[in-house]
Amino acid sequence: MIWFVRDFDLLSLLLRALSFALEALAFGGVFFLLFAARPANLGSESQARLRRVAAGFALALAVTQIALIAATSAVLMGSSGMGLHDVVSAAYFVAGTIFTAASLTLSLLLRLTSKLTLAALPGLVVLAASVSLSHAASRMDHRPLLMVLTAAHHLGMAAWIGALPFLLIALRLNRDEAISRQMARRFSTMAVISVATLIAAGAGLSWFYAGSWQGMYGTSYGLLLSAKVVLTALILTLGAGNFLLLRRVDSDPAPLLLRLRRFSEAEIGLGFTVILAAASLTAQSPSVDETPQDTLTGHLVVERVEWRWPSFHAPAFSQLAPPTPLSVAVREATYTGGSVSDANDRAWSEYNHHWAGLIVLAAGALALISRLPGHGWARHWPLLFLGLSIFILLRADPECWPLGPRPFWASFTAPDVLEHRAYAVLIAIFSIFEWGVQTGRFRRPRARFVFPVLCAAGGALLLTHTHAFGEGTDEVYAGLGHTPIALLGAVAGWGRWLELRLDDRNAEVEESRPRRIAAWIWPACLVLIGLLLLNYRES
Amino acid sequence: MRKASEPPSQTPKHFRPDSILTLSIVRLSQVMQMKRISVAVVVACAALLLPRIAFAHAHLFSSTPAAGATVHGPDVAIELRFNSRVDGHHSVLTLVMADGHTAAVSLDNQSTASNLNAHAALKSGNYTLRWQALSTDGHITRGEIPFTVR
Repeated sequence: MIWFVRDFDLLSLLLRALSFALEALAFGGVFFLLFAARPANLGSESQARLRRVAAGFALALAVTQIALIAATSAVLMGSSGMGLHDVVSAAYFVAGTIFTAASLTLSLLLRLTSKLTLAALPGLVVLAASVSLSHAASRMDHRPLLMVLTAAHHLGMAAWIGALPFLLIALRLNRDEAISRQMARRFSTMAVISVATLIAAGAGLSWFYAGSWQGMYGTSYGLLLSAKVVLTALILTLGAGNFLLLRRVDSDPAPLLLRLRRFSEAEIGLGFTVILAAASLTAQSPSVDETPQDTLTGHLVVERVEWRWPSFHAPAFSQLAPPTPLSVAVREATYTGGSVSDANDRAWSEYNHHWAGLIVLAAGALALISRLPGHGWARHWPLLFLGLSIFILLRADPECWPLGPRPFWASFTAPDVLEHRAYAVLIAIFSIFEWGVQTGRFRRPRARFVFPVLCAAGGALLLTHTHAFGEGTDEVYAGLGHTPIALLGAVAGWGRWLELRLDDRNAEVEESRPRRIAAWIWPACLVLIGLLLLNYRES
Repeated sequence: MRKASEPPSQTPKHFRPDSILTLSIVRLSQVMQMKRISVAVVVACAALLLPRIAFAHAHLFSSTPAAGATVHGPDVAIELRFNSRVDGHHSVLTLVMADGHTAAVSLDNQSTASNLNAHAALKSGNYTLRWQALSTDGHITRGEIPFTVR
């Protein structure tokens, strides 16, 4: 419980991401009902079901806000001796309370009445409260304009990514193809408008927060922003595919609507990855606030990503910096960046990354080869990931068991170690499951989705993780190494998901083409991740 | 916006959430019995899944005293300038003396919405000013500034 009482900072970031997602979903439900389901004359029972789902998201949003207020208050009261009486007057507390009350009201109205216009007022209050807790509200310059742009950005996201799950639910509930076609068309129009709003507002915010082109790639904020742009472009590509599908949906509705649903699933997955990145952005200083010393130039970025032959020579264990006692490390790290790695530590880490890259490259290459006729033996490629898992467990943390003096259980007290070991376990799980799937040993449908889900989730988490390694350019260098890997991980996961989901026995011949493309994309992503890891450098 | 002429040393290192994770887990290990280790591991694994982000929302642009500076006592004016609005009523300054003792510093009225201001009467010696700023959007940032009073 001490972890929960004292250190809610991390939890609050996750709650912010959840809050963004739930806000988009609650608003998305209202938008979908207003602009797609109702005009398409979706049945009243189905509409009531959609309202209940939206109400559920609004209720979850209220609960999330309560948790967020509690988390922030616990940190304040625990670390500064403030009483509850002091804390309740803080701006975040007031805004959060209003946010909670408005979300609850929205939930109740959606549940109790079909008059969606009544939801407008609490909806606007939710939006205002959300914006008041954003970057925009705390800026010193251009505050009103930034708040308007932020509100537009939220609404654009809600009407697109937030409304998509409601399209999928509605298509599932509705049996009338004509209504489904009409709903999908109306959603498509709404999505085009919302995407335009989202991009225009996002471009405006980037103008103020990035400040320059260099601010888009030379800082941690910029890298995250660029990752958002790339992910949005990917989602737009999928959305454009759906848009084109809808133009010929009259010719053969059933298989085309099915494909639309499958693409939409990947859109939603990538969309929530973007939302996670957006929540991470709220915890970063905008690029415009960084000093030139903390910002990488284009030349340095090119130098960093330039290919260099990987090193497979590690320094001797005795050359590494001796492990700091935990008590000292904790004291030093509370208000400062902690200890700094020396050249040997970096060489050790790069060696580990290079071997990991070789393993991932081999796995990706074998996954590609296994697609070729007569190369069934290559289907055992997931077992290579099991090797990677063991490698991480043994090599990643030289100060801990089995290499270092810290015993197995005590080593879990270091967060980096904990992280490496959790990743080792996750990699082992998905390698075993995927090996079973590839070789036909696991035939249960759900087993097939373990690899894509963990791969996509790992990519999404790595996208947020890239900004925790230190200060200044060290942090940006680490981001340069990890951000593309995170993006490729997310693409690989959703690519495999699409390949599996488009594998419909009743599918028409024309449906095999996107599935074939997806089937080549994700192994190619693994190959690229391997190459990036082989080129990994920490300076 | 930060002025390019300001020395980089003005910006103290920011709080690293992985350090908080360390803190929390160390505390956990201190208080838990062996039979509860499995619970600790589960909690720790859950913590792992959370993104580790440097909470640098209220970014310190400059400070008086600057990091590593020597100032004349006994009256020392303290001013921290941030990139965004900070809540002067709910932010905290603490002085750490050379012998490790700490003392809370009362905050004055803010000169602007992005500044924290205070005064302290200090004897000659080495000090570290620890700050915890609450931005108006609810983010908390921390840092420390070592300085000397002559």
